[in-house]
Amino acid sequence: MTVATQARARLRGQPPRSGWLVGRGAVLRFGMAVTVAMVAFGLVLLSESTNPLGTLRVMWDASVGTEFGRTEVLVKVIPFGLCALAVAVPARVGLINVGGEGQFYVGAWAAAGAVLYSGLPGWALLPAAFVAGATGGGAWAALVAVLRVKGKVNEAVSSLLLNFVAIQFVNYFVYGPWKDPRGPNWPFSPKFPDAAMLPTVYGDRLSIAIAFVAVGLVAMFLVLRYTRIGYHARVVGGNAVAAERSGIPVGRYLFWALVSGGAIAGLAGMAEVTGIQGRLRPGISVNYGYIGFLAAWLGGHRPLGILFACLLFGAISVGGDSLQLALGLPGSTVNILMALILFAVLAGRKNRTQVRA
Amino acid sequence: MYASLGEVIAQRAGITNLGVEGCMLAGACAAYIVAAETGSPYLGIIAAFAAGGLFAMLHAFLVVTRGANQLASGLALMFLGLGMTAFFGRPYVKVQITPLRDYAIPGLSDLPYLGSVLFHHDVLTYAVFPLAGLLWWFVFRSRWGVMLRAVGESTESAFAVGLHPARIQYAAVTFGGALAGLGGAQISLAYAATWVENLTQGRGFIAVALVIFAMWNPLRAMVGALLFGGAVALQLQLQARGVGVSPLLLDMTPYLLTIVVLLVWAQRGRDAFPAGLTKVFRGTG
Amino acid sequence: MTTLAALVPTHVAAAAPAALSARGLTKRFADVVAADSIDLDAHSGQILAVLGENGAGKSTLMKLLYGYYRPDSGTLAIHGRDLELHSPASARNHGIGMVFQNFTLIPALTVVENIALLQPGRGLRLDRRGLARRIDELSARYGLEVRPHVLVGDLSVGERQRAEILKVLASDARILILDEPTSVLAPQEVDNLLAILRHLRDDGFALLLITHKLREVFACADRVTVLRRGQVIGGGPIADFTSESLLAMMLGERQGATEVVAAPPAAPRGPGMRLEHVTALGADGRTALRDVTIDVPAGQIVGVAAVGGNGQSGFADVLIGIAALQAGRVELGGVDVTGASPASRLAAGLRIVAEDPVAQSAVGAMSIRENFMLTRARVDGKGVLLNLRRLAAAAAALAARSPFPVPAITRPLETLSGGNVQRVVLVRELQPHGRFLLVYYPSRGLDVASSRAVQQLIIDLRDQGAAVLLVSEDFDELEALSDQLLVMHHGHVVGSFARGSVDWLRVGRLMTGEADA
Repeated sequence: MTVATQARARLRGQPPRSGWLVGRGAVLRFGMAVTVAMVAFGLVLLSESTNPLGTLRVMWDASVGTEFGRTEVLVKVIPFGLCALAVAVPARVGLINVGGEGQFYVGAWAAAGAVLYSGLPGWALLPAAFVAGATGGGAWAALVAVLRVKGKVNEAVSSLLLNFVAIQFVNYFVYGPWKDPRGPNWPFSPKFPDAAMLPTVYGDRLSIAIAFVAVGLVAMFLVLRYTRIGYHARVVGGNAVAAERSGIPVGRYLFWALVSGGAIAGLAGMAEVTGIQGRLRPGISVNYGYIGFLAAWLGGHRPLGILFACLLFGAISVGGDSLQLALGLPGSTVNILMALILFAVLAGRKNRTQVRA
Repeated sequence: MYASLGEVIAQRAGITNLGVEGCMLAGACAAYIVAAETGSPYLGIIAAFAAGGLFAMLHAFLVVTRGANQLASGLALMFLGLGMTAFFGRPYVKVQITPLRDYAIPGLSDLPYLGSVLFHHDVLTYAVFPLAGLLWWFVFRSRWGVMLRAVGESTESAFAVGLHPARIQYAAVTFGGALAGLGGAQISLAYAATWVENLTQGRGFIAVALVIFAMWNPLRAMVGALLFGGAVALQLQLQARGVGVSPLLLDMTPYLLTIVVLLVWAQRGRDAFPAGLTKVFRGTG
Repeated sequence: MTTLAALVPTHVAAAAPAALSARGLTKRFADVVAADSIDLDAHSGQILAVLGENGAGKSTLMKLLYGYYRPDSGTLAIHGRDLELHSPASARNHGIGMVFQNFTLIPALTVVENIALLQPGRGLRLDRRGLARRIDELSARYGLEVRPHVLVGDLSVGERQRAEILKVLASDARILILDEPTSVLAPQEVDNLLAILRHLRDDGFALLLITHKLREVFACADRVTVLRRGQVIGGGPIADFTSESLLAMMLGERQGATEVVAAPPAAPRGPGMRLEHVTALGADGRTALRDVTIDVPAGQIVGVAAVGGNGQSGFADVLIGIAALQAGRVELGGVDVTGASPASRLAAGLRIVAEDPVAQSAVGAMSIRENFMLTRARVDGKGVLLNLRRLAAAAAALAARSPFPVPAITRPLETLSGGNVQRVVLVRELQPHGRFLLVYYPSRGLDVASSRAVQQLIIDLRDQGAAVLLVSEDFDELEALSDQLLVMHHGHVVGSFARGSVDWLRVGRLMTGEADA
């Protein structure tokens, strides 16, 4: 059977561990990795005679040090966390979803479409956007899933390629049919009505979508731990041959795990347009899909790990924005720090060798 | 074009480098800085080669020596490239450089229509064509090429016949990154002749797509790159004649075509990938 | 028991040191000693056959000789000079070449390219034409016909093997190790190969032929060394042995019922598992079962004896319903389940103790408890939520009822040794609700007490009415447990013996393809 043979070759021996907490040893190693990365980052800054301590100070103040900063970190956690979940869920059945970016865009597009062109009354706009976002992202991932399960096409490659298609797809609409006729000649969709904006829970910018992340993480934990589906999913991810021999329909699990992942990324897109942007425009995702991939990976595809990773990346990202204002450094300087942390963790982790692209 | 050629080499050794984008940025930025400081774009080219190679070497270290996840390491490399070049390149954003000169090939460049398109370019552009041929020869005809492909197909078998897979993978990934660096240099020194943050704008990923589309063949990668480039040119032509094809839809075609190619190959039951593309092997003790 | 060392001087002039000799080679893997202080001498111009059953340690020994593994202790010498092999590369530099059982040719490269990989030399240039000429010379000389510019993936198996031998010859090796070279070949190809080997011997090569086929040993070997359980059991010039004496050494003496539990005879109790003219592909895409008809009645144990790779692996995927049948049908308890899903077959009471428990029926990242749940999670209800408490209680009960000690059930499986994983799978699968049991190598990796407990468990289940298909390499176990014993070769059932009438020499001949059915 096709799925079995593929699974045999690919899935064996690379299961994300089960469980809620990361191990103590892991925390220690992680702390060391972050320290090493910080020092290396400091050296990079020094080389251009920028004061590393001052820089870190600015970043700290901007992100963790103030209430506003902390809120902003949570604002970032929304797309990071959802995109990380979009990676983690398929990862639990042994699939690699690099398509969070594209699923994000299509989710945002579908949500925008529901808000702007469905003609629904105001109270129904948000639920419609929610459903549309999840469906859009899920459908985009379903393409990958069908290619994988029926067509035997590697899901990592196809999901990555579809990212670029999705971006162009959204561009087509915002440059074309959906361009705001009343606005200046910018590639923006019309502004959403207020009824289509997610309510905020704290400050002006932190929307209720933070609850999506919380619910998603907790649900992931509960489903994996307490339900038959979750248990079967873990078996599929742990050893697909054993799963098939135990009568678990492996192909179906692969399909639905990818689709759920896509739906979650789609919700991230929906949260972005209805929570922050208020319209569809090009470049709504600043590599969120990829950052989510790295966060999920850094967090070991476990809920709590993902949360920590997203908070860390959120803080770095917010801190980066402040560098521009305070020190005149380019905002993406912090990408160095993020990459260094990842490298340090990658180099320090006892890696399993079996990885596929 | 350089980037996809480089990625062909790396993937032939069984290692995907999603960080091509990072290598390209590093190359573009290093080339620009050196060109600006020394006034010589040719020194810039050398710097680009070195910078791209160094970046890729980091990837090779993590993946080959430390057995790290290739995708995670590659993406991290992309972010490192974004950050480093933004940081170090910032002082040069408004600096002018002497760009690479375009050389017209006497006689040919005066041909009507095609002449200026085909025969009026910088050295890097000219060099890529013989390079593709050379790499094709290298991969398919040379002794080292056989070793490279052997490692990419099965590190275990390669080890069993007495090769050193890790060394070969290091070399391939580093060389691939160096070529990606040249690709970046071509953009910053010739095509754009300027430096801004994120100059390459995802071209590294196109390179990855092209490699798959080209089925890991340098010549086909070349043809693919020209086709995709041609698509852009074609759409300009079409627009000029008032044919309304959305350029954005045209931009999707490379990726969609690549997926179709993958699908067709998968159906034929042949593994489209160099078989060992994804496993990182460590020699048995 | 004679040792090899004692036999050496009787045959060879003591003055000529062996082309390749080993003294006291030992290699351990986790809890198994795969090679136990092995002595061995291969001389130029001779073929030394290394004979042993599956799992006797032949392949490990060969990989030690080729530098693929490094020995834990012991020494190697070539032409009397001690040497240490760090890698296959250093073995090659000393003129040792190996023809692997599963070839190391790379399918996506052509024959010439594959051979080029083994060529010493530097530089970029690949001298295709020169190499092709060299290949033509060698193949003409030894009758090794191949098409040099064809992709290896497109060659036939026999051709691939010839290419593999050519590859080794072209690298100027003078000591050739051949690991079960005939296992993949058709009979006429085997004769062809043996002729080639004799030709090579006459040209002064030293050859080591690893095999479990007596016919080949007598057809071409000059000397023989017999391995069992990682040790050299005996050996010497081939003329000193008969096929009976070699078989007896290979299989070990029958030790009666001291180590195994003998099952009392039992009567069949109606329909059990039945395969009817089944032909199916194995996981590797090769045909595993060829027109196999087996009837395992309820209340009976049917044993299967076969050398590894002769189709017995195919039973699992066929019975569970993962393998697509090319022909035939499968019945469980008199009901045709040919098209039924794995889940429904499990529900009907099918249980499998897998051939490779770690790879096929356990999840390393999960705890023993969660692995116990694997079959129960489907059995215990259909709701969304798992009844964790009940499953945990069931798992604890399983562990408590286990006839042998099971490690703490919260431990992740990947921290266990192979033997303990085997225990976990045995405990899970050999439960009273199982009506149709397929059991592979039940006592592999277990100590004597645990083996006996498992064997008793299987007998108990039989007596409760289960149909048991037992695949084993332990002849004592097969003889003691089986109500009927089948012999398989090349995917066919080639022999059948009732309880009490098993002729082990004949079984051995049938297994190795020496005798026809």
